[in-house]
This record gives sequence, structure tokens and C-alpha cells, in this order.
Amino acid sequence: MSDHQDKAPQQTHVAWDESGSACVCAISGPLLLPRVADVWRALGTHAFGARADIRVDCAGITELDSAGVAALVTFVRTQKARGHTVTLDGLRPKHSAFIGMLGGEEALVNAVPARPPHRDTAGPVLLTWWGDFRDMVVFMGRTAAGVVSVLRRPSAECWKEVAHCLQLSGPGAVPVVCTITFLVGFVVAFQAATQLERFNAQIMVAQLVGFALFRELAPIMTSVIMAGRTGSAFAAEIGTMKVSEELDAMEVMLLNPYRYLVAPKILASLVAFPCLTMLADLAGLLGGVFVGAQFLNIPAYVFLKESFQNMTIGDLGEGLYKSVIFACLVAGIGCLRGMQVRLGADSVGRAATSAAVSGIFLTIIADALITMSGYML
Amino acid sequence: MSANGDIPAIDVRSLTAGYEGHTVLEDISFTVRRGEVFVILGGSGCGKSTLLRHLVGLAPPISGTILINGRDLTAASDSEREGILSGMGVLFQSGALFGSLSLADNIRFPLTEHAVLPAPVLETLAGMKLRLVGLEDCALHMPGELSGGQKKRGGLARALALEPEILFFDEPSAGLDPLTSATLDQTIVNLNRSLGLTIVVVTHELPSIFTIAHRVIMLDPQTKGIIAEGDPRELRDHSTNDEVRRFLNRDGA
Repeated sequence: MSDHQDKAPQQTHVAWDESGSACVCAISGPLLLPRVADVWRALGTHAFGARADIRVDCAGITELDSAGVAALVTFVRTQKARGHTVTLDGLRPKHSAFIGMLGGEEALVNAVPARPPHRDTAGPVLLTWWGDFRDMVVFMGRTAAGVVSVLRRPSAECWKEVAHCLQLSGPGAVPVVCTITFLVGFVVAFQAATQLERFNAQIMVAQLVGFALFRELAPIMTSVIMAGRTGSAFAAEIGTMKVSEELDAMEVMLLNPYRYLVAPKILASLVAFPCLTMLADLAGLLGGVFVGAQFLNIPAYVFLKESFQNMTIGDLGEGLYKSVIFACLVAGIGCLRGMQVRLGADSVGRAATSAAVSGIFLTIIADALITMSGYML
Repeated sequence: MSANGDIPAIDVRSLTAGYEGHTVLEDISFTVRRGEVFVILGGSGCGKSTLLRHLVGLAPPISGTILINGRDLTAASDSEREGILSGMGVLFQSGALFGSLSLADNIRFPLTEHAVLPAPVLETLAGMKLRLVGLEDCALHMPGELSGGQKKRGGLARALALEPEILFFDEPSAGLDPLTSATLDQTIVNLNRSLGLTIVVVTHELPSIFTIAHRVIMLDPQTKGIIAEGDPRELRDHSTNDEVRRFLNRDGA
């Protein structure tokens, strides 16, 4: 349009002449994007008084781009709205042709509102919940069918996908799961010791750490970590595939995405969660042993003997049973959120976030229900 | 309106295009004159899109130089590169509108980041850019709610936001029906005539080429070079190269 970047800066002036009957505003120099802000300030801060006629003398404008046109048009519009009459005078032919091409006259009435009206207000929350619930029921049914179909008619493709998901969700999580549960065991041992000290029952620390870890903390911590790590990854993966129409492509080729995408992720999680939970048990116990040996004068073998003597295989079993449930919930909600993605890249991000949050939430709720029912029965 | 009319808008000198370990074009040179509509054409996989990515500075070429308005894009420092790129606008194949912003916000985004504009002027400007592509009624729509053709026009409005001198189009007709595609061609012609923009189009749509192009170059994957250059109508009827004539006459035989 114009080479304003290459040229030596040329000043843009706004001069006022209020001697006549009309207020004349003469703009001279280039009226281009970098200058518009200054010109606008000069125009906007001028006090017009009661004068009703404003004449903008544009003869001095040497160059004009669409930002300049926007400034002129906006000025005319705002002053007209205040009851002044405004005319643009002396435009060079090519400039007025340019304004015409940009639809300057029509643009006078058609500016874009600054803020879009608020979308999706709090009103239909219940509807959203109902829709979410329905999605979930449909999803669970299809997923169950998908898992059954994989188990009944196993194919190399499915197992390849299971192996792939397992590789992504399993070994990579070992360091973070072990570190965190080690520290949890460590902290629990300390807290227990300060309380048990009052009853001179510090040896019970071993038993307490063992119970707390095996039955509750190891499966929960593992699941929480996996919700953030794997659940959101599942959501992002499936969501991205949905956005790029890969899921539609599968469907028209009669490849059931629940069989080839969702079921393998659930199956892989069903293997990964219990394995990681057992590693978490060990790591947490080590944390307890470390505290016992270093700070409580309980030698490692005594600590371990105390722990295991009072626990049955059932305690380990309860933890693993929980971890299997958590696996279904976390992987399931991850895939569901991915499937719920509709349009655009930002909905993939929301799906990933929601998968992590929902995964953690469901883990805690399920844990409370399982523990409570175990106590009641 | 240009002060340096004798310098070509784009001057490509012995460019080898491609990515690491894989060249698609070898030692090609061409110039794009100021104010012309220049079409890069060729069959699928001939390196058109790769060449475009080099021209707009998205990927460095393997060797050779690209001069934009006489300034070297390939050897530019970061700040020089910024200066060169600010004079260019690109319309990507699917529009590349930001999915989380409304159409109007997509246009405001580069403007607010790169220029200081008072809010009311910004609104008018966004409205004008949308009018230019015929989307003034969709200003508040999200990109996900637009059709393919609308997304492209929206992307064009955004590409025009910063007053570019050179506009690049990557396959503007791809995925559009003939009518929409013809409208877009007309928009290209209008932009070229009325704003004097230099326009570079990558395409293989014959009707588009004959409507918009002043000059074309045709790329060939076998020789990895330019096999024809000139006015498309001229080449269609009188090219000495058999393949060029067949391409432009849509002759599959």
C-alpha cells in the first residue's frame, strides 16, 4: 500500500481554525497506522463548545491507510452522535476512492462492539449436568462393549495399542509415584510418631504406616498422580483426534473408536495402576523405615516385621482392588472428556484440565464409598 | 505509491528449498514485481508449499537468498526479520484463525499487539476489514461456527490487519466450492487493483490461475526446478514444454 516503514519520518499535524462559522480541523502529513493514536488524541481532546459545524480539511493528508480511514470514520461517527455536523473536505481522489472501497460510509454505522455479549451464562447448568450424565452413561456402555469386544475378538491392532498406552502410562510414572509415596510414608511416620509418643507406643508407627499406605494412601496417591499425568493425556489425545476428524474417519471406516482407542487405554490402565500401586506400597514403606531407623530408633527389620505381622494379604488386596476401580475411573473420565471435545484447539485444553480434575474428584469419592461400605459390611 | 518501484517486491536467487536431508527444489531464481499477482503452480508434491514457507520466513531455505523489498530475509537478524515480516500478510490454507477468539478479536489481536490504537478506532478498523471480505455480520462468531469459506475470508481479513504490502495465499481454492472460490479470486483481484498489493498465490486451480495471475512460475518435481515462467494464457497456448501445455490445458493424455 505504502512504504511508510522505509521513509524518513514525516510529521503529521492537526491544526484548528475556529475563526469562521465552522470549526475547521486541518490534518496534514501521512495518516498511517503508527500515527493514528497521536492524531486521535489531538482530535479527541479538542473542546468544541457549542459549535455545531465541524469541517475536517483532509487536503494535507499525503498518505492514508485503513487505520487512518478508521480514525476519520470513527471521528465523524462520534461527533455526529454528539449532535455536531461533520464533513470531510479536500480528500484526494485516490483517498476518497480508498475510503469508498473500504465501505467508509457504511462503516459509519457498523462498528464492531468491543466486547461480545456474554455467552453461555449460568442458566443452563442443570441441563449441562444432565447432558454430562447422559454422555457418561452412553460412554460407559460403549466402553464396556469395546472392552468386551477386545477381549472376545482380540486383534493385533488392539493389543498394539494396549502396549503403546501401557508404555506411555506405566514406566514413565514410576519415578514420580515412588518419590511422592516415599515422602508420604516419611511424613505419616513422623506425624504418627509424635502422637504415639504420648502413649509410649512408638513401635506402633510401623503398623500404622503399613496400614495407611497399603489400604489408602498408596492407591490414592497413585491415582491422583495418574489423573494428572495419564488421564489428561488420554483426553488430549482423543480430543485432538476428534478435532482433526480422525474419529469421524474411523467411524466411516466402521472402526469402532471405543474398541481401538478407549478400550486399550482402559486395559492398559488396569495393568498399570495396580503395578504402580504395589511400587508405591514399597516406596512408602521405605519412607517409614527411613524415619524409623533414623529418628525413632526402630531398626529396619523390626519396622518391617511389625508392619507385616499385623497385616494380612487382605490389606494389600483392598489397596489393589481400589486401584483397579481408580484405573477404570481415571482412564474412563480421561477418554470421556476427550470424546466430549467439540470444536477447536481450546476445547482440547479444557478437556485435558477437566479430565485431571474429574479424575481426582472421582478417585476421592470412590475411595470414600469403598472404605465406608467396607466398614459397614 | 511506492518510492522504490525499481526494486522487485520479492527477489529469489539460486534458492535450494527443502528440509534437512531432503531437497524439493534446487537452485531456482525468480522475481515478483511490485503490484503484480504472481502464481506459483505445479502438481501435488512439487514443493509449492515448501517454497511458500521459505518465502514467508517460517523455515530457512537450505541455501540461496530471498530479498523482500531488497532486504535479505535469509540473513536477517531477529529485528530485521521482524521489520520484513511486518510488511507481509499470509492466508493459510484453512485460515488458521485462533479458535479461542471471536472473529473480530482475531483481527484485533495483531493490531493491539503491534500498534497503539484507541479502542473506538480499533472497532471501526476491525469492522472495515471484515466488510472488505464480506464477513461484517459474523464479527462475534467463533471460528468453530464458521464454514470453510468463511474461515478463509476471516483469515484474509486478519492477514490484512497490519496493512501488508505483500500478501501470500496458500491454496486459496482448496476445499471451497467453485462459486465461493470464484468470489475469493475476485477479492484477490480487487485487493491487487485497489490497494496495489503485491500478491503471491500458491495454487493448482486452473480457473483461478487464469482469472488472477499476471505471471506464473511452474515447478516440476522431476527436475526440481522451474519449467515455465510467464503469462499463463501465453504459456497455455504457446509453451514449448509439452507438460506445461498439458497442465494448463488440463490434458491428462
